[in-house]
Order: sequence, then structure tokens, then C-alpha cells
Amino acid sequence: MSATAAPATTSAKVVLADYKDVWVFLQRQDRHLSNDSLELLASGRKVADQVGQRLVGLILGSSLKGLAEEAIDYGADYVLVVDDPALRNYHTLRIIDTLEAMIIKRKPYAIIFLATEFGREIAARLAYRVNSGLATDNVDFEVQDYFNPKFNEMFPKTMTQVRPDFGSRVAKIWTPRHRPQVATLKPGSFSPLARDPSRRANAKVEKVPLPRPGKTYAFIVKELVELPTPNVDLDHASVVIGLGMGICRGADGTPRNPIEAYKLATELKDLIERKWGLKTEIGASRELVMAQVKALEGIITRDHELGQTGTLISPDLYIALGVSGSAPHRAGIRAKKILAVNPDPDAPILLAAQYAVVGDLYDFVPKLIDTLEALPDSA
Amino acid sequence: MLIIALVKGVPSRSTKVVRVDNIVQRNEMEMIVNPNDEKAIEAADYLKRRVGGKIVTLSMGPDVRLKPVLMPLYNAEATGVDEEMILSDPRLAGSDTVATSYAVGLAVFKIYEKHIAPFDALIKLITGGSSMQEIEAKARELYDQNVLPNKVYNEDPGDRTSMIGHLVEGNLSRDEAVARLKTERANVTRFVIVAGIRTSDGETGSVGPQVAEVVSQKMGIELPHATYVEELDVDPDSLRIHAGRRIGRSIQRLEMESPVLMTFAPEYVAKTIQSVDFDRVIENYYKGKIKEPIKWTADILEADPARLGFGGSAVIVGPAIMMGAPSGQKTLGKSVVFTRKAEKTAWEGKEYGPFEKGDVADALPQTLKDDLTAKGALTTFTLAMLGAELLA
Repeated sequence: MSATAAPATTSAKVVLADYKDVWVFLQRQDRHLSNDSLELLASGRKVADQVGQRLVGLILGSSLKGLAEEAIDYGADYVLVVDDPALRNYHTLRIIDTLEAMIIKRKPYAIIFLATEFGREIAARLAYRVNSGLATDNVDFEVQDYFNPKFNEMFPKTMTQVRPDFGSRVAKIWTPRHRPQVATLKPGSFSPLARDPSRRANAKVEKVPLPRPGKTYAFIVKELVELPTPNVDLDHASVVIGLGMGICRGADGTPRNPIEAYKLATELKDLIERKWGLKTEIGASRELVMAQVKALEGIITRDHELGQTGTLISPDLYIALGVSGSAPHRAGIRAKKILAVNPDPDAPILLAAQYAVVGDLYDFVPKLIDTLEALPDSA
Repeated sequence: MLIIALVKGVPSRSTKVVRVDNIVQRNEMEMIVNPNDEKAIEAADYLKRRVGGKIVTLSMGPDVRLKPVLMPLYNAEATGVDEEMILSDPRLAGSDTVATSYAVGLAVFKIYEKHIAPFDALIKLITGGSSMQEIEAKARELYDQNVLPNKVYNEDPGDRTSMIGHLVEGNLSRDEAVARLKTERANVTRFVIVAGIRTSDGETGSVGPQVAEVVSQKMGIELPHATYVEELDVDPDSLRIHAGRRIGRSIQRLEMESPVLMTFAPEYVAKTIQSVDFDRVIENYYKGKIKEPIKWTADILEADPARLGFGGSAVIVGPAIMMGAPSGQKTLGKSVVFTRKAEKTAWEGKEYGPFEKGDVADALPQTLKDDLTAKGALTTFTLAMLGAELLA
């Protein structure tokens, strides 16, 4: 190989029309496809329908029984399965090699990954290797005829990739001259399609052997250790109260002991559980977890981390106290309703909230507790 | 050990994003070192203290803006960085991740080459029969350029323990000296590239893995990479890297053969070094620091110009669109909401409604809002209303 062997931009030899089918790289959770993967199938279905091609699910790993059928039930027309022990334990380089071989042979129109730790690194390196571009963290896709005024050129049936940009905006991204278009999808952006086992009648599963099985790597997975289940169950809470760095200061900038905010949150949690019978948990932004605030030692731990790198949550209500709402934080929150309290009127979390309170949480939360206490019992 | 740290200058959080034609104008914005890159410097410092060597940072962007931001890194952590390279060229403006990775990857290769070439030059002189004076003069020149470790040559006149010292003193034959230089050259080949997990401006996290791919293709090897690294150690003898990283709810522990690229998660904290072979570390150090960042233009990369900058970018970014607030957003004490059900209303040639009690009216024309308020149909959104709706 050499850097000049296959230039990324001299794409004259790439005949765009040769590239067909929308691929999605599915990941598992225990013995099923992860919920994020079902969302990924829904996003891929949209693209496939708009471009008029098949949606192909990719399942790479070991002991994959039943997963291909799940992929079909949730939207795939075709599933490529590479089931080999060599693909266990997230062997990055082997998975990239496998995908590269599949892409060269089959020429997909697009390949979409989840914007998880693993999906991101695979997508990035693979995109470079197959001489294509990359658009990360998309929240939506749309197939359109794209006209570029600079080139004065029309690119028919191009996948428009929509991604957040510098906080509170979105940007549209195109990869008009390269195939496959490589993208990552931000979890929480699509809802899974309804499960439909009747789809199996018209769908197909193809088993693909591992390419270059004898190849050795300078990358050896020594072990994969499952982390213990956390003592906070953010996954199944109906209400989540999130604490951010803002709890360390009042709205006027005076330092506050963050334990006071934690106590207020606990009071609110107990009230909601007692009065409404809704399971409520307290979480924290990554910034607060990383800050390792002395007063919160042992109280706010990594198990409490919300957002893209922590626990992805989908409660009925998310109450954000002193959380600014960075893009990675918001990406991990898919609440039906958000109540955000922040003294900064420009805080991105306020933009995303159904209920926006511009003010001091130390002022607001006691009042909210009083108000909720005063309500007649719902039961 | 040659340690190359990728460091990016990013707009500080307080600065306004300036764009012309959808391209971010970095030379018009206040800059800081990308916060995530500090962990890469911490890791680089750890590796340098453990096995010796030098840290070279590589940045891309306008050099006049980057210099003041990069200068403090000379004193970062325990040992600080030794050299700073800035890839600064208008031809690189508007690069997407692929074009960025291409340029950065080629620059990494240039840094590597710069540290390999001295060995080749010395080996050529020794095998070509040059005089000891010529060999020593060349070694001194290269040592002064900070591209040969103490082990190969050092300037202490009383110290003849370096390879070239031994050779000049006659304690080492030419063949033995060449063999040792080759071993040492191979050690330089086992360099390590470190970076932050992602930048605070682009947030793609893609450049790390892609640079690994660029360097792989350039060197004709497959350079492994690991992202989100939280645990790091190195075997000072074999230079094998042990890294741990989090994937979902698992920790993956890896053993990698350098050269290798790693990106470091904010959770990474350098281990305490219990014992260290100081002699070896000092032998592996270089002469010192070059405390003036070196500017490189794209010319040095020997790149395919069609792959650089905006023209070399595969993706095209359209104009940014403000994301609106969710429909029906209510701001406490500010929003106005309906106090009762309201039928469809025609107002100034447009139709609005129907509305339910509690619906937000913020987006209605001011004159209509005034009219509805006068009729008692609208009121400010209060805490009592919020409390009643919140868990309903």
C-alpha cells in the first residue's frame, strides 16, 4: 500500500450509479440487537425507501443466532452475517478489514454506523480506507437531488446528512462525489419501527465467510471485562433528575455547597416517588462526574453519568438542574418532557426544554417542591 | 521513544464563531488548546518518564494564532514537550476530517522520517569508510539538531559511552556500530502517536483513527489504534503498549505493538511510576528542547495537492440552521398560555387554533395576544401551572 495508490478525491473512476443498497452496521446488547440498532434500522429504512434500494443489515461477531431475523423484523430487506470467533470482543482492525472486503466486493450506496465509541472509530478508519468522506453524529438523513452552486453541478439522489453544529444549530452535509457515503447516527434520533415478523417472507440472510482468516494483528484483545451493574438504575426510571456543574454556584456566582442541591434533588425524588409512585433517579452531567467534587465523593459516581458517554436515558420527564446541555449531554437524553433550570438564558438545555426556567435552582426547587406538595393526591 | 502528540487549537468557549462561506475562520477567533488534548500530553509525559525519548507536538492551523497557545506546553506536566511543529498553510483551509487526517498523517510521517534519517546518514558514513572525525562531526551536528538520542551521541567530551563515542575511541568496530545503530533505528520506528478523544469544536472524534490509517498506508504497515483509552502502560524493553478502554459497559484491555495511535479519554490519569531505570531513560533522552515552534507549510508533506484543504474534502457542509425550541415550549414567568379552550380564530387574514387550555400562545401575533389577554383568555405561565402539568 502507499498513500498515492488510491487518492480520495480523484473520484473520476468511481461510477456513482454502480453503488447500490443502504447498509447499517448493527450492534448487539446481550442476546438481542441493541435498541440503538433498531433505531439505526429505522433510519436506514428511510434512506433505502427514498433512494429506492434495499436496506441491508450487517451483523458481525460471534454466536449471532436469531439476530438476523430481528434485523428483518425491524426493517432490513437483506442481512449479511459474518459469524466468526475472530470477531469477538470488539476487534477493531479485524472488523474494519471485514467491512472493507465486503464494500469492495458489493459496493454499497451508503453505510451507516451508530455514533457509539465503537461505531465512531470503525466508521472513521473505514471511510478513509475506502476513499470516501465521513459525516458523524447525524440526527437525520434525507435523499435529495443536491445542487452545488460552487461547482454548478447537480448530484442526483444524494444522501443529505443532518448533524448538530457548534451547539444549538444543525448543518447539512453531503458527500456528493464519493461512495459509499459513510455516516454515523446519533442514538435517540429515530424511533424503532414496529416489529413485523411477516417481513421475513420476502427477506434474505446471507452468511459471509471471514476474509483473510489467518491474518495476524499488532492489536490483541487481552480481555473484555463486563462492568458491574450500577447501584443507580437510570435505565428504568420514569423521572430522572440531572445535576450539572451549575449546582456549585448560585445564579449570582456565589459558591454553593453542591451537597445542598443533591439534598434538594433527593427531596424532589422522594416526593415524586411517594406521591406519584413514579420510579425516580438522580443522575449527573459528565462535567460534574469528571470534576470529582469533594462534597459529592461517593454520592455522585461514574454510574450516575448521563449523556453520550454515560447512560442513555428515555424517561417520561427529565429535570435538568444546573446542566448547560452540551451536545453530547443532550444526545444521551430522550425524555418525553424536559424541565430545565438554568440562570443563563442562552444555555442550550433551555432550548431543548418543554419547560424552561431561567433562574437559580436553589431558589426554584424549594418552590417547586412546595407547589407539588400542595397538589391534591393524584390517586 | 519518539512520542508525537496531536494538539489542536480550538475556539475558546467565549469566542464568537466566525464563518465566511461556511468555512470557520480560525484566525479571527480566540484560541485555546483543545481541552481533551491535555490528557494526550499527560500520557506523552508518562511515556517519556518511563522509557525516555522526546515529545513532539503537531498542530494544524494559522501559526501566528497557535504559537502563543502552544508555548505553555513546553512546561506542561513533569517534563514538558520538546518540540512543536505547526502545519500552517492557507492551502489546508476548509479541510474536512479526511483531508485533515491526510495532512496530519503525512506530517506525522515527516516527523518520523526526520528522526530516522540521522541513523541512515551515520550508517552511510560508517560503511562508506568516512574518517572518525567526519563521523563524529556529523553525529554532533545531528545531536545539536535534537534528532539523535544521548545513547547514540552526546556532547559531553569526557563521556565516551555513546555509540559514536565508543566507535571513535576504537572500543567498537564499524560493523558493531552499524548493528547497534540499526537496532536503535528500529526503536525509533516504534513511535507512539497520542491525541485527545475529540476536539471541542468539531466533535467528530474521527481524525485519530484516520491518521492511524494514513500513517499505515504511508509506511506500508497496519498501525493499530485505540480510542477512549483510560489505562496506559508500556513495557520499556519490548516497547509494547498495554491499554484499557471503555466500550459500552465493558472494559477492553489491549496489547498493541508500536507504532500505535491512541486517543485518551478525560478519565485517563497517568499511573504513578514505582521504579524506573534512570540510566536508560537518560540514554534515551535527546539534547533538549527547541523552544520555538517550527512552522511547516504543505510543501513539506509531498502531498497530492488534490487531496488537501477544501478541494481535497469529500464532504460539503451546508449552511448552519438554528435549531428551534420544541413546539409548545413554556418559559416560566414569561410564556403566555390559554386559560380556557378557544375555537379557531381568523386574525388579520390568517387562521389560528383551535387551542386547548394550557396551550402556549407565544408564537401568535402580538395584536392577537393583546386581544386574547384583554378577553381573559391568556395568562402568564406560573409555577402553579407548571406544578400541575409536570407529572400529569
